[in-house]
Amino acid sequence: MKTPADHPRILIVDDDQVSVMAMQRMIRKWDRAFPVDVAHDGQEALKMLKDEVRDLGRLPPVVVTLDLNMPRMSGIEFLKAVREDPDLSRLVVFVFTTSDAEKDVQAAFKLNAAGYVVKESGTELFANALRMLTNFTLATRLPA
Amino acid sequence: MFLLQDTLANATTIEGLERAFEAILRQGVVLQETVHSVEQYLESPDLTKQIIASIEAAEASNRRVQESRASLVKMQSEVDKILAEIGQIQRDGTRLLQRMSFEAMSRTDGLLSEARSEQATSNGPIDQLFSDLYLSSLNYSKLLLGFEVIVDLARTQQLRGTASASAGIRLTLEEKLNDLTWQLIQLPDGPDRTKLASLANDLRQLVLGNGGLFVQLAIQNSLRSDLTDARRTREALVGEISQLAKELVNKAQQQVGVSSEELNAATRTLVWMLAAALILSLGTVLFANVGIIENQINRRMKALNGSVSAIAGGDLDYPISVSGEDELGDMAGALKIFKKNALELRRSNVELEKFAYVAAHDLRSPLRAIHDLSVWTLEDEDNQLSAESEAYLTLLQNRVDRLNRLLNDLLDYARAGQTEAKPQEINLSNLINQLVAGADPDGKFRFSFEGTNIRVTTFVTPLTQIIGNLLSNAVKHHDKSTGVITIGAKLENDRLRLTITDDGPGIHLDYQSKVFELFQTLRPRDEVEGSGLGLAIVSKLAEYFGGSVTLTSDPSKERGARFDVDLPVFQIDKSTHEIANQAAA
Repeated sequence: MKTPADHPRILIVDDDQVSVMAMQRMIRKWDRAFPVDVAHDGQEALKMLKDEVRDLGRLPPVVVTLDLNMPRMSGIEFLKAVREDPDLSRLVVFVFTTSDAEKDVQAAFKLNAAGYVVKESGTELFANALRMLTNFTLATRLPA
Repeated sequence: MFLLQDTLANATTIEGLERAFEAILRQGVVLQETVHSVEQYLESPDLTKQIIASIEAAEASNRRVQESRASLVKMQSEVDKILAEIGQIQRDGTRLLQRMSFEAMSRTDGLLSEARSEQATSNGPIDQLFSDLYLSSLNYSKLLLGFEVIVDLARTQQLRGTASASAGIRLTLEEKLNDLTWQLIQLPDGPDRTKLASLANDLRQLVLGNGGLFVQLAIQNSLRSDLTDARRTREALVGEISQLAKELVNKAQQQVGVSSEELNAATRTLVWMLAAALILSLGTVLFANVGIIENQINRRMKALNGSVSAIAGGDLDYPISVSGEDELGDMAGALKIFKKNALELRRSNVELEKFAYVAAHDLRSPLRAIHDLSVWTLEDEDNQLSAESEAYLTLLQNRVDRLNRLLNDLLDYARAGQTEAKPQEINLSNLINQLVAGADPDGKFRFSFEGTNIRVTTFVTPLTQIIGNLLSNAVKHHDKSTGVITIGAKLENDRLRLTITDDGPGIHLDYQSKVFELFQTLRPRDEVEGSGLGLAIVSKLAEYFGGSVTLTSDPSKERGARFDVDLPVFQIDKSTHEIANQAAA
């Protein structure tokens, strides 16, 4: 049931191809390379997560990075759906977006985002934070 | 009688007031007849003559007022017709220009794809066409703007200004119409241009021509002053009647006393007493009602005052209930225009904010992608790039950075002054130290400070932007590897005067006004990176917050440049910790 080979994984949710490439490059440089899944909008990500966890019985990704401005289903809507789903509500989500609007930051933290980094200024920062967060999540026991 | 008083008491509109005057005069006529019929009994022939004469004069005056009003109404509908035609011309002109503009854009797109395709042979004719089309599209925008400005100016003429203001606007309109014609000539020849020229000509006729707006408004103005005069006369006369009636009543009262003592013929006394009673009540009513008329004006004035205060205070939805053909009505009309403009401004601010938000996101993403992709191409060692390719990629990154900075600066400029900040108290030297560290992180320059160790209460965000921009300019545009930059501060009453002096190359007198304009730089962008917006932002911010920025420099005499910034500061009321406004922001 549990397939240790592709866990722990990271899920990147972002509609910008170059952004995704940037994150993949960063993750590849870490001393431990995590397999990475990609979804291009909230709906795709939600479907991916539900299929994997429910149908395939896989463990959810250890960290999800989330862009906010996406077509079909935006980041905030996705986060809301995740928190409302009993199987997915404990996902660790790190917001990485172009928006620096106060209302977005507040909405994200209201839905228990693990962090919020604005893309332009923080690519390096984000990479380090993401690595720390991933290691942290692996090391700690989150409530069941 | 009481009905009359109610009518007057409730008259808040001009119509109501006119009705009230009519009613008063009717009562006056009754009084006149009554007085006439008992004239022989009254022992004051002069008084009765006077009151009869006054009532007749008042009636004549009222007729004049009504006639004046009728003429004005007719004139207003003439003016409205002209304004409607002007509006139609504007719409037709706008539509035509938009179509022409769109066609020009499509042609440009067509040329672009041609140029990209393999079929492009020489660049000569295409370059020419590009510049023609570019000029055309500039012209279309200018023409559109020209039409709009002229129509707006014509409309505001409705607000009765002084004769000299009117003459001024007329001159401006002539100028603008001439500009419009000149710009039309620059368009390519054709049926469209002919149509536009005919529209422009119609517009000129409608505004400045013999039956045009200015002429009609002049007539309207003189009719208006006729009406005002007639009104004033009428009011004075009604007042007079009231006074006379009062006197009459007094006299009548005295006489009643005397008559009853004399035991005259019973009928005569009875008639006389009835007449006296009537005169008494009519006179009292007339006297009271003139006071109520004054109240009515006060009431309208109060209502208008309430609207003005509310709207000036920002409540743009407050109703304006006053109307009419007198000065108060005019003020209410002007207020309505203000309100409309304020709403328009608020709406466009909201749109600007939305635009800035979207532009920020949609423009930054591809920029970042271009930058990252070029960085990765250089990083990946598998790519065996020639030195030349590496140089190209580096230049590419540099241009992308420049675009990014320009975008940020543009957004800063657009948003300058948008924040509804409240003044805050800060330590000026702390702020300056931070900004110095930001402008000269490597510590190449020596900074000296004079009088900056003060606390001030002012708008912190724009102050930061202003000082920051000026400091970074001083560092960036210096021609030597080190130098001295002096920052001075002085508090005078409710102003903060800052001075930033450097010993750099200075700015030539010829360029001093240009440097504050948008996108103006003095060195090629490859020598000194700059979007050309820094000083434009500084100037916009300073003006917005009620201050100013001036430049003093003369490189022919000595090196260096000095920027003087003047900004409002506030006092904190220590007892309540609230900020007492000393200058309107």
